[in-house]
Amino acid sequence: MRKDGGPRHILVIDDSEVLLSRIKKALVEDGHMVTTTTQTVGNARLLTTVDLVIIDYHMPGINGLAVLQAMRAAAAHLDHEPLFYLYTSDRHVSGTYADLGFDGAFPKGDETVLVQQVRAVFRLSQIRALAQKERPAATSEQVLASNRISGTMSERPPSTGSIPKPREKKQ
Amino acid sequence: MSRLLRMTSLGTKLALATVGVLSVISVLLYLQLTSREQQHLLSAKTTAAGMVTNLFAASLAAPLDFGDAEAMETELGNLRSNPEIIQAWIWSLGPTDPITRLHRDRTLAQEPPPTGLDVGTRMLADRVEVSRPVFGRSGQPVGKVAVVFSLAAENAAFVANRTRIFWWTLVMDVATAFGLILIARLQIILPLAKVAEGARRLEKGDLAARVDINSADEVGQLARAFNTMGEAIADREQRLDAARQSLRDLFDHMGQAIVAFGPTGTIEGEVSRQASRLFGGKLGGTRVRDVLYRGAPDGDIDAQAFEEWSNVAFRVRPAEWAEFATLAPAEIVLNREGEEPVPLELEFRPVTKNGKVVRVMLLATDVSQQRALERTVQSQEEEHARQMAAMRRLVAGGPQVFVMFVDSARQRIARCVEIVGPEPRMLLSGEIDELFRHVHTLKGEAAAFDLRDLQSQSAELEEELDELRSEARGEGFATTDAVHDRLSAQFKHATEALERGCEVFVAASPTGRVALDQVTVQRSDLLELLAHLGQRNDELGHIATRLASRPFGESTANLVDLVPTWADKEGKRARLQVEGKETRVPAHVARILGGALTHLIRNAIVHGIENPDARESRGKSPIGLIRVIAAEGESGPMFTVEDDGQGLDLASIAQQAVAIGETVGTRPIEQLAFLPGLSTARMGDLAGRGVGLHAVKSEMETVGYKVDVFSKAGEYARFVLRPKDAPYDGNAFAGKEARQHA
Repeated sequence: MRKDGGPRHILVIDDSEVLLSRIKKALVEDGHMVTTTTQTVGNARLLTTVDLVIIDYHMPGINGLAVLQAMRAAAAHLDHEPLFYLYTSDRHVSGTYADLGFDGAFPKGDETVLVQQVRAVFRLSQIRALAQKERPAATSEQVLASNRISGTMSERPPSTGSIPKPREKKQ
Repeated sequence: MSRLLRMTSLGTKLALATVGVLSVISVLLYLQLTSREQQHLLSAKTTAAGMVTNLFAASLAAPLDFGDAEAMETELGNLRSNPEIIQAWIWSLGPTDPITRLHRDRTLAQEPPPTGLDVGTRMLADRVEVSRPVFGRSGQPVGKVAVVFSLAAENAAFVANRTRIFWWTLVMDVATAFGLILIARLQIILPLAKVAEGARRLEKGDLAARVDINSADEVGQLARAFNTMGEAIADREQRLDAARQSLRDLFDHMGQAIVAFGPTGTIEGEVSRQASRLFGGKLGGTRVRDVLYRGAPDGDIDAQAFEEWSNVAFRVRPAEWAEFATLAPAEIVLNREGEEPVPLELEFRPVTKNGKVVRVMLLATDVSQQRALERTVQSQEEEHARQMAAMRRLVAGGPQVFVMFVDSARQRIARCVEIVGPEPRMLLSGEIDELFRHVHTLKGEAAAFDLRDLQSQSAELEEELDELRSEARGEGFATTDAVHDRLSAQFKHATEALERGCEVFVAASPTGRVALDQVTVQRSDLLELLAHLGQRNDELGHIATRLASRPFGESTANLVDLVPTWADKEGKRARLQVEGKETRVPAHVARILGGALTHLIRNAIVHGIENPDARESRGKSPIGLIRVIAAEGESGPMFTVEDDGQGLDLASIAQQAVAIGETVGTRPIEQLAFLPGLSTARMGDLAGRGVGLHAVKSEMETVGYKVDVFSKAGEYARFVLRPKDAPYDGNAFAGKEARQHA
């Protein structure tokens, strides 16, 4: 839940309607607001209200990396950049999510696991925001690092741990 | 030095102090005694020497007065008999040199008379020199004598006495020291050692440790104080043990795994029995993250979130804990090697001290049985939903077919039971074939109607009968001795499965149980009959009207499945409950009723039902309920559409009414909801075009119906469709809310 009491908004991009339907059902039942799409372009307009973007990696004709890059470019001017998570069953790809520019990776397959992990992502962002409040003023480097690592629409605390790994912003 | 003193035992220190003090006293005593002894000896010698010299001087008065040298020599000779006199001199008055002298030996012959000695006594280390005047007959001094007495004997006696004094002092010293040390050991050291030993036993947990000291002195008082303290400790320990055991029993019987962890994230202190069972072996010192997320891969976001949560937990103020605890994982699946994963519900509670969180108590509840039950219920619900869907399809295609099937299936089963008979008997091949045919047909028909239980029971019976048929193939008959009871039971189960199927059918049927009693007639015939007789107000006309009327359930048949889908599109959850399915609806009303209900239900989903979070925050079920009720009335049936949502948004209705140019205040706000073009919803698939309620009102008015609306903020909204001349008491439904008529 957001600070304003509303549900978190999650955007899921996958080429499978069936999978999107299952993911949406599971996440909506867990109290999130979910937008699903099979379109790999034209989603930038949604970024202003989205907290988390889940992107399939292997999609016909395009991979998740290209989608990520496009959306990151679109989100660069936003005050609140959403988190971008990779959604794949390819362990090799998921192991390199940070290098690819994602904030983290979810294993593809079991929606109940996905629900748990989405919960954990939002919890983690809140915990880091709280930890930031409890701590003395952070240095500008820490703030920048936090923005890269774990920010959400409304909370951009610095990381206190190593996961998700800090990513380099793609230019 | 101070460390050496701390390390030295009290007994040693007392002994050393005793010996030291006694030694000083002994030395002083020794010196005092020897000094006195010496003084005593010398005093006696001085007195004796004085007396001898006085006598010697008196004996020389006449010889010196008369100058009798011989007599003087004689007197000197008398002195020789005294061995202690080593020298003597006699002077006449005037001359400085002595008249005569006496020397004990030659070595002294050259020694001059003592100088500076006038008349008196002088004490030297080895001698005593005494000088006296000699008085003549007239009492006038006529000369002087000096006598030197040896102190050798006295010195020898003094040395002997001093040695004796030394040994006596030493013996007394040793004896006294021994005595004092013995007393100290018996009276202080040993009792204190007993107390110390008792304290050590107490420290090791021997709560029966006591000290047996009966003296009334300070050590005895100390021992009694120790014993009292031991009893107090034993009593407190027993009470603590009892409390600990109670706590332990409580922990162990709570059915929850309870552990506590500190700022380092490691488990500390006692753990409950359930915790040992769930998490395994020794948990002390283990990181709680590793216990909960055993086998989690590096980068596991859930484990990482927990780890960072537990780091922050010890900086959170206790007053903020409740909110902070919501960031902890509420449920995990515990993976255990070689065993089934266990779903656990987690709860975290702070242990505070001085206003700070010092430990966090984790209560983990094994919810595997609960989850299994939920899965079972869900699967049963899914099965029920599947059956209902099948039945609705069936109903849509014509319920009479199913009714015919039920009748024939009952007859088939009854015939089979009759053939099998109440007791085992011989069955002819023809009878077995008939049984087999009935069962085979039953199985096929059950499959056609998606009655899986009945299909499964029939399949089992078919296999049983197939074997029986094989047995009968040679002889032309087979006995049912071995299978009678089993066959009877299976036919009974088949009957039960059929009846369950009927119940599902009734539940799915828009006309309810009436469906089982319906016959098929052609609509054209019915409408023709109604055209001829429907306008008549006699019995025949009423019968024709009733025959043409439709059961209310028909108007809602497709809505039951559509409502959840519509709600889902709005990000909401809702279900439809239909009551009074059998209520007869006149044909002209039934024609438009479905559309009106659809408008009202979609309206309820868009405007009334809240999203699941909002509902839960208001203490409602996350799934909204829309009730559609039909009830018979004297003037005709009455219909109600009610949702348990947030009620009408009167402020928004008023605002929208003003926006479309209406005057607000002259009529109740609820009535404004029926204005054409008024909508409080964003335009979407379901509502928002501002035509729904106005259309419902207009449509119902064409068949002589009016629409009433009732609402209570945060609780419900209710639309009542009733014949214009039918009375309706809104209070019968919802109490004191204002009733408004459209």
